[in-house]
Amino acid sequence: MLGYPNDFISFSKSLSLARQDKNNIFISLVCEAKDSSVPFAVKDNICTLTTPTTCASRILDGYISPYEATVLTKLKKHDCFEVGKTNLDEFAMGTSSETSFYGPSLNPWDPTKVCGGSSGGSAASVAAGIVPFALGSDTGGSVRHPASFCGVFGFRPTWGRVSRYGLISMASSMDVIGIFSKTLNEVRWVFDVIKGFDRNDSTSYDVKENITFGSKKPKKVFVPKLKDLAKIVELYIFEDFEILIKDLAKENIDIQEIECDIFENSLPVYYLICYAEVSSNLSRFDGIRFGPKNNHHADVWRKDSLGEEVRRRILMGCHVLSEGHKEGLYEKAVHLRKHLSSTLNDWSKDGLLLTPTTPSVAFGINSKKDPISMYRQDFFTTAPSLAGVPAINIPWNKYKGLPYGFQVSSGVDMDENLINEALWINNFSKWTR
Amino acid sequence: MNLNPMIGLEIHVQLMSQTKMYCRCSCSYSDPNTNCCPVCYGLPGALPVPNKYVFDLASRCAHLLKCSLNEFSVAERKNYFYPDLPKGYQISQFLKPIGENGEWFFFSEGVECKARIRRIQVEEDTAQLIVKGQDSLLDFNRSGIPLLEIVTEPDFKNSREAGEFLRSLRSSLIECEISTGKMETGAMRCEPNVSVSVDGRVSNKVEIKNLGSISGVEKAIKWEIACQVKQVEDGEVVNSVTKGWDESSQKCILQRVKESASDYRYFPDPDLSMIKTRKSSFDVLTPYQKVKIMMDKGVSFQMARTISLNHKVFNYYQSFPKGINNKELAAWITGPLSSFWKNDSSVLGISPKVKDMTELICYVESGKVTRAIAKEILPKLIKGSDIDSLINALGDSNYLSDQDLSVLAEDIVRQNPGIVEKYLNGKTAVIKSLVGMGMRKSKGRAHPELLKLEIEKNIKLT
Repeated sequence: MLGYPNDFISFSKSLSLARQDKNNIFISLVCEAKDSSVPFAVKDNICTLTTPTTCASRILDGYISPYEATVLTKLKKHDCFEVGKTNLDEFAMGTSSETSFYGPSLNPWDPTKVCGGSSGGSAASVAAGIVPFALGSDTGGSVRHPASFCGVFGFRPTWGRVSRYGLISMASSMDVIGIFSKTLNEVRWVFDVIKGFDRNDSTSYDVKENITFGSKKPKKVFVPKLKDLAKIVELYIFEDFEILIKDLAKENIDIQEIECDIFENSLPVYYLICYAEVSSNLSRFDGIRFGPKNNHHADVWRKDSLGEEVRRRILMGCHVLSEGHKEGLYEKAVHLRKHLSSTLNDWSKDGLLLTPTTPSVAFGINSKKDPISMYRQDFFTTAPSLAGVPAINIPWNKYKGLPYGFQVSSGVDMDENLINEALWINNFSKWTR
Repeated sequence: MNLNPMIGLEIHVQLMSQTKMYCRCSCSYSDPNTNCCPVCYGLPGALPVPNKYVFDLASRCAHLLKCSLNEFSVAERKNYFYPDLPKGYQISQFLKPIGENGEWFFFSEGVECKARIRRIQVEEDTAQLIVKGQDSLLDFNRSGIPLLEIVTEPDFKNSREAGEFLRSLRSSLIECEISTGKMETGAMRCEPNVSVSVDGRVSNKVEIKNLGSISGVEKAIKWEIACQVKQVEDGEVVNSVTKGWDESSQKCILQRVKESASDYRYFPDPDLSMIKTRKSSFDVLTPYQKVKIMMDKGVSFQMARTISLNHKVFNYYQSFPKGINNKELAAWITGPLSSFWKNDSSVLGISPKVKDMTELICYVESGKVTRAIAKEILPKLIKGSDIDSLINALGDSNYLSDQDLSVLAEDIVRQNPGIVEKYLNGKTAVIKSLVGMGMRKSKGRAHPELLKLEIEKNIKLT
């Protein structure tokens, strides 16, 4: 058992004090911070100049990037300072932050439980009150999932609205940089700082909008069919969800039930595309140009330095793209993704999609051994990822002292509107600080 | 023996862009690893940003090669491991290249030929692997330099056709400012694939790499055809292999045996959106069209070919007034002018001035100046002297006087009784050789027409 939360892999140089006393991070922070500056934590797959960027992998142990991510540059301009790099599942592949080369992060509500993933360290550092906000990355739910397990807001923006330059790619077509905070006001503030076109990311863009922060009541809400939902989520989550729907109906909000198939089908589609992109994106880690010095052949070095889940995804990705299988697997997934994407965006014209974020509260460390059961943690989160739409985890309630949250998502580029609608729905939350 | 070689070409051309294909680094030559950024090194977190100009150049090439242009072109990842490939994949094209199904007309040995173009696509160059003793060094300056790949159908029947195709294509690529076309620096590289059919027995395709010049391409293909024909005749199986041309031994040497088809696991690069290709309106005459234009005016194929292969030379040719004797002009360009330009390529197609050259050719045609004298004047003309004063300065010394001419004719007739006898026996054509002797003897200062008359007069007198 680790004696400390293990939220951080490394600390910023100005915080050498904190490094010596991991239990006293908060106090040291107060000493170092300027009056006007805001400290924040960064997931360790986002490139920074003063701290190593490891992706929690041995293959990048000690790697210092010669350049920094665009989001870091933007935040620094707004008087924010980076405290340190937070723990994650190796290369952001996982939903528990246990596959880190540096060991698992512990849930601040219960140190025997995981903090979710893959951005577990970021979620935990905000939940524990170490920093007011943290950056994570969300591919299939890596911001929303740990936000649910740690009881904080976790925002996944529309794909392309925040520059990915400096975010170490997992599955590029779904990777986004996301935000953790305890209030939606702060989420919106950080989003306003980091969003927008970046000349170093050709997929990034500006959206002309003039939506100020403030509670907004949604007209219509799409929810999964309750009788299906009961089979998927734990009872306590189901009951809370049922209450919320009743509350919303009382507010004269049009409630529309949808089949759970869309989530059931999203899962394999998501993983097929994710595997394919992972296999290609991780090819650059050959041990030649960066990472620890070694005298091994690339194949030996990769086998020794990459974890089991990472290797599994690379191998699966090679298979999914290989001749004879590509058509039936990868291309079929791409086709289904288009269909799913248009469905979700069509719904968003009228209203929100509302679901639980996770099927349960945080599970015990080392309790999930089977990769499929780990993948099923992403049940509700992969559909918005595939569609590239924004989604937020709202901390909702606690069960036996462990938090869980609900997810709202909407359409492409409706981020600011979604934050406002989440603020309104948050009024019904049973979350108490 | 019924021999049918089938030759296809894969041509890589470095595009004439100031900056790289997916970042803002310079493409210029520089010390190792100085024109590099996180994108060139394939560092974690770096993203490609497409250079739009590169796609415009590629579209221009598609237009030149009469390809159908894909309005939306897709950048795909070609996945494979190699130390010179920093990302572990090359951003290339697969399903939707810039252009497909084009054609290129050209002449080979005076015969019209057509090659079909299968596809043209853009891709980024790899880094350069340099082996120094025990060490393997990598220079990433080349990493990300924009490349155009042109793939032809196996439409060439011999090495000369392949060579002439490359020469004419290269000339147009330079004219359209698509590439510098410099093979010696690797700005244009060609990999032929060769197979033969001997009496219906077909060999497997052999790829030849490492060719540094067009004549090298021709030599390698010629050698490979001969090699395959011998193998087929001996009943051997020609394996599908990759060979490299070895300049020192003038042979193709086996590089690697293809065990199985590689699977590059192509898929659209998720870091890049679809590329909307702008249609090019860049029109030039191809060398094929140029040759036809010149031959219509009576220029010989050889001269027309030479002129067509350099657009500056052709433009010079074209800038002369309509009435000029094109044959004479072509002879001047491919002769004295081309050796002059060879010494000073900076004035190629600029000097001598068209006006001066036109007058000089007219003087020669009208008989006022001999060709030999004109050639002597040429350097002065190029240096900027005025043509009229140059001609005037010649005065009468230009041509032999009537008296000198008759003395010359007399001498020639007297010294060549054998030829004179042939003439008298009816072989009047031999007069040409007598005139030629006279021209040489007078160092070109005799007027050929007048000399001929004078010789004929003299023969009749004897």
